[in-house]
Amino acid sequence: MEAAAAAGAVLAWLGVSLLSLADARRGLALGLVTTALGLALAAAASGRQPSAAAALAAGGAAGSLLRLRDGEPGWGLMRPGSTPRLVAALLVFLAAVLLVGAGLGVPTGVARLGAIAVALLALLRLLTVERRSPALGSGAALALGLGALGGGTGLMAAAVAAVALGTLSGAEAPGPGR
Amino acid sequence: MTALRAWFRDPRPGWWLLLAGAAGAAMTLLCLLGRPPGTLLLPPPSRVLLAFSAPAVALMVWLAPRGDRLERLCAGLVGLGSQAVLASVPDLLAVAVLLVPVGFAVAARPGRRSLSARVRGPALAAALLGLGWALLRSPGPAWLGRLGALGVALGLVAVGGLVPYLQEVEDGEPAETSYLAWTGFLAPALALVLPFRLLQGHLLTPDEGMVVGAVLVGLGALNLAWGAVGAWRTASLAEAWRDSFLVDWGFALIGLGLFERDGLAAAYLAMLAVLGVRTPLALLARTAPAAGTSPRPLALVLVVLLAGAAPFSGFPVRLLVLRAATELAWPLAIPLLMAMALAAAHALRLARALGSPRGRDAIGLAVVLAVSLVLGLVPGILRGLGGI
Amino acid sequence: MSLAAMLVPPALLAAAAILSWSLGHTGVGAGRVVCAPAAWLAAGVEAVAWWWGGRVPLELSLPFGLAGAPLGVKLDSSIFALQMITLLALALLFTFQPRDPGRAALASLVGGVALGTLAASSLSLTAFGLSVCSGLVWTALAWDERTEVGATWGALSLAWVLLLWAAVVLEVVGGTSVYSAVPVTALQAPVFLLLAAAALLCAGALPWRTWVSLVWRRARPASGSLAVAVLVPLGFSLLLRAYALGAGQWPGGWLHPLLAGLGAATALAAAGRAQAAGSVRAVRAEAVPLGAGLTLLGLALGTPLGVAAAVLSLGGLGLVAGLVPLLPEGGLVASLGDALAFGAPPALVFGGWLLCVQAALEAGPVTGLMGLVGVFAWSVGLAAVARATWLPAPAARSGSPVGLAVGAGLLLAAGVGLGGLASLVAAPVASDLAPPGSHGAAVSYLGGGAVGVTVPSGSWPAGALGGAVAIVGVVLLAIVGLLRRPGREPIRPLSGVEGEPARARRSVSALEVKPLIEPPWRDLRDRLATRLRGLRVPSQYRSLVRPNAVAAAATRGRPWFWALVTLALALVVTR
Repeated sequence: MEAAAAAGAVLAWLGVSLLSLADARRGLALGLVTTALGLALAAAASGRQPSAAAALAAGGAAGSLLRLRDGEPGWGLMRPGSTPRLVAALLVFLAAVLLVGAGLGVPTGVARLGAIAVALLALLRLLTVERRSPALGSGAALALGLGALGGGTGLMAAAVAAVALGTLSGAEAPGPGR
Repeated sequence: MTALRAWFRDPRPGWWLLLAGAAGAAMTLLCLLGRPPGTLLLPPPSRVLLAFSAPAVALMVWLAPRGDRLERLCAGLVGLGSQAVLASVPDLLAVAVLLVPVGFAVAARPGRRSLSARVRGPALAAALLGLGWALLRSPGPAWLGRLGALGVALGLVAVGGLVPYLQEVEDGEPAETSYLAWTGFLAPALALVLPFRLLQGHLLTPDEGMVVGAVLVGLGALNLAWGAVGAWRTASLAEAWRDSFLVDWGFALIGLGLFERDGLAAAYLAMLAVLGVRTPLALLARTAPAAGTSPRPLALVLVVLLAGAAPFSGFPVRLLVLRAATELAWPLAIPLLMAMALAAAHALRLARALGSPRGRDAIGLAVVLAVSLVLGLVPGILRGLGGI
Repeated sequence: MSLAAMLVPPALLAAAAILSWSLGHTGVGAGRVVCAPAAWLAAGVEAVAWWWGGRVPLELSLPFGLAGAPLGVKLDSSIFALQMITLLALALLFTFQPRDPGRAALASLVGGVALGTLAASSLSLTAFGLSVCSGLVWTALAWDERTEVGATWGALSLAWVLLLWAAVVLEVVGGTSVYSAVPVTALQAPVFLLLAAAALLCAGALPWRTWVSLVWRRARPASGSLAVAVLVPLGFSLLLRAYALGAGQWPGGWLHPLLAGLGAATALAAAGRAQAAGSVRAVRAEAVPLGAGLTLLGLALGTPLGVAAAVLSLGGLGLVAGLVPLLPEGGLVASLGDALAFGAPPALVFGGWLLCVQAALEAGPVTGLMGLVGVFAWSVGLAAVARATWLPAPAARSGSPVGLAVGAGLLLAAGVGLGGLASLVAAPVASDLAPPGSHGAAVSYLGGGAVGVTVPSGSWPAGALGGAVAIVGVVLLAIVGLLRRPGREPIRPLSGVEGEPARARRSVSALEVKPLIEPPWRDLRDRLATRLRGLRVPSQYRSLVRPNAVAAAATRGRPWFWALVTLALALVVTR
């Protein structure tokens, strides 16, 4: 179970890192679905309700599919100026390890590591991004990460949030009314 | 029916906004009824707050230009529903999660600033709240608990858009996408429900409680000072109005942070005053014509209201928070008194901005004055309704 | 009957306010017709009900609160005296000062609230009432004109805020702020100082130019006179309450000479400003501050005689607040009215001030010196009145002859009947608040019966002497009036801007009416303010800290600022 939780945490971290490095719809969608799957795996392995974990995965997947509707086409990975984001991904992981600390020895702690890393990195992306579609993707990831820190209610709420954010359009509006 | 239809004449808002408005109304009703049982639990103070929010929404619709009223109504219902849900969900982590889509929903409305700029505040608030809550409940060293406590306290401050997490204020920004949406409408719901959630089941250790209290009191005092001086001295009138909210919030944060009954009561009344009085006044100020004529008595009475003097809503808040602060440590009362005295300075300025309302604006103003009088004269009844 | 005395007068004024406002909305301009009789009736009901009720104190507590404070009212001798002072002043103003229905309604409401505040049974309720009163007074002031409203608003706001804190401290320390229930030990010096500060701000009894002087210099005096009539007695009521809270004395013996000295300084400063004033209106604006200073001197002595003298002096102040706005700007009658307001015999002002000085002389050597300072200030005030006959009038205001006659008549009658007033009104207040047993030295009361005044240092027949002077004065006035023909009265030239050197009315060349005493610190405040405004940071100065940049970052929603602050707080908390 600990291995599964660790795998889930790492997968979630990889997903959110991909999301933070992507600027176009495919990269965002893939990042988001990877994050959701990783978090769901970690949550299930740490003893949370499997139905809630499955809901989280489903919500994240639905949100990522909806993300493919609009936004910049393509992957948009590792564009110029994305080096700080890459560094941030590593630093956030270290920070999450620091916060979880001795709890890393148990599946719950490992799952928490993944969730904290996802939440922190998604937040950092959200605070620095200017464009709409990456902001929506980061928001969904933030919701997933925060939800994964809680119990069944948190997981369900995260799933709902991810889907709700997916329904918002990622197309840039013209002029001041953006 | 014809008149009603004429009132809601074209252009119609998008079907999605109509659906969202209906969903908001449904969520409000479900939260009030407490359905499903055990999932949604609206505490009594939040019920009263919701009752005060409805007139604010009604005023926003009333003041809207004719073609925008249905859209404003739908947006207002979404806001009401969001407020109800945020106050009803017992799990604070779930609240933090739900803050994210609510923040995006508010930010997605047409406005001057970009969506990403507008969503930063709520997103940070959600992250602080969620991470803080998670750290509070997870095992670990004492410093981790204190960090969690800090996160929760800062989350509340951030969701209100208060110092040091102030949002940019732009002149001409629509009300529903400006600071009013959070500072003046959604955040008060969270402010009232947070102490209940924190104190339920004695979650906080003394150390963590001290951190929450100290942060809230410290930032409350900072907001009080910033608001009192800023509302008086800042060049922009829109910022002056936003800073005036900081004064009410400052009292509320200090009241919450003192963890005294009188302090909680002060915070409760302050949030009611924000929703029932200050937000409607800020909405009225947006539509008021430039003041040029000699002041009418109604406008002059506004100065007294905005300064927090009796018999209006500010007086019981000041009395209660002073009492709570003096009970704990009398030096705490000194910044409160300075802010109370300084509030008189910005009241003149803000009241002038409201000008001399006429017609429907004057009716709206009279209603706000009446609400403020109720809050100021019989706070005991409202406290009884809220169970504080 | 005491209940009627307690409840009916404020109810009458409130009802008059509603009626006047309603009539005004229907286009009937009957504000004065409604409010003036209501004020006189309220005064009559109060007096009759109090006396007929046997002058029995009464306290009424209600089971619910008001604005978070316990709701209760009380009536005793001191509250009766203060309410009568307020009502008489208001009655004069409502009757003889023109007001439109809206303003009349507001003034009547102010009066009703002031009466209720005087009758409040707890300090927190008094703070509430003072806050309401201040707000309504400010509204009345700003409705008339915009000048001097800011300073007034600031002073009154500070007053009620300080009073609120004093009430809160009493509630925390003593468990309650209800006057009759506060333990004597709860009134410590810090609380008293808060209360005293609020009282002095409210009454304008401070050595510098306060709102009381400022509002009476305005072009439209109606709302300013209302403010003075209502708030000055309210301010002094707080100090009277302090005696009740402290069982006859203020906490700390040093507080008595401190406030007595402050009173003397206030009187002296007011007299100094009056004798240097540039217009008649500016001279008159100092009448109440001068009287407030002497009243404070008497009240702060801590003796029964001092308290009684202060009550009488306050009565004179109240009537002055009602009389002075009705005076014309120029002429013999104006000068006589000014003289009465500044303590010329045989008016109530004279009697009250004389008793305050006597009380100071009898209370001890230090206070005796203060009493002499008070006498000096009084003399300077009268000299200022004499000088004012040479000053120009800022505007041709005719005043109200009938109002003047009524007001002056009341002042003179009260002065002639000083003995009766002292026995029936002032002495009971003194015996309630400062009984002789509460003092080390046995200082006997003020006495004398109906025709004279007796104090330990001697007696003087106020009735006989004052009556004779009044009769002689009236006869002289009548003779002068018969001899005076239209056109012989020298017309006072109108002056321009306040603050210009006063030009004498008979000047042919540029002759200035100089102040009698030119204090070197006269323009000190203005000079200091100018110097402070001119302070600048040297252009060569460079700072590492840029507060503007920090403020801009804070208000622009910069994420780096948020992250920095959060990180800093996290580091502090996790230590």
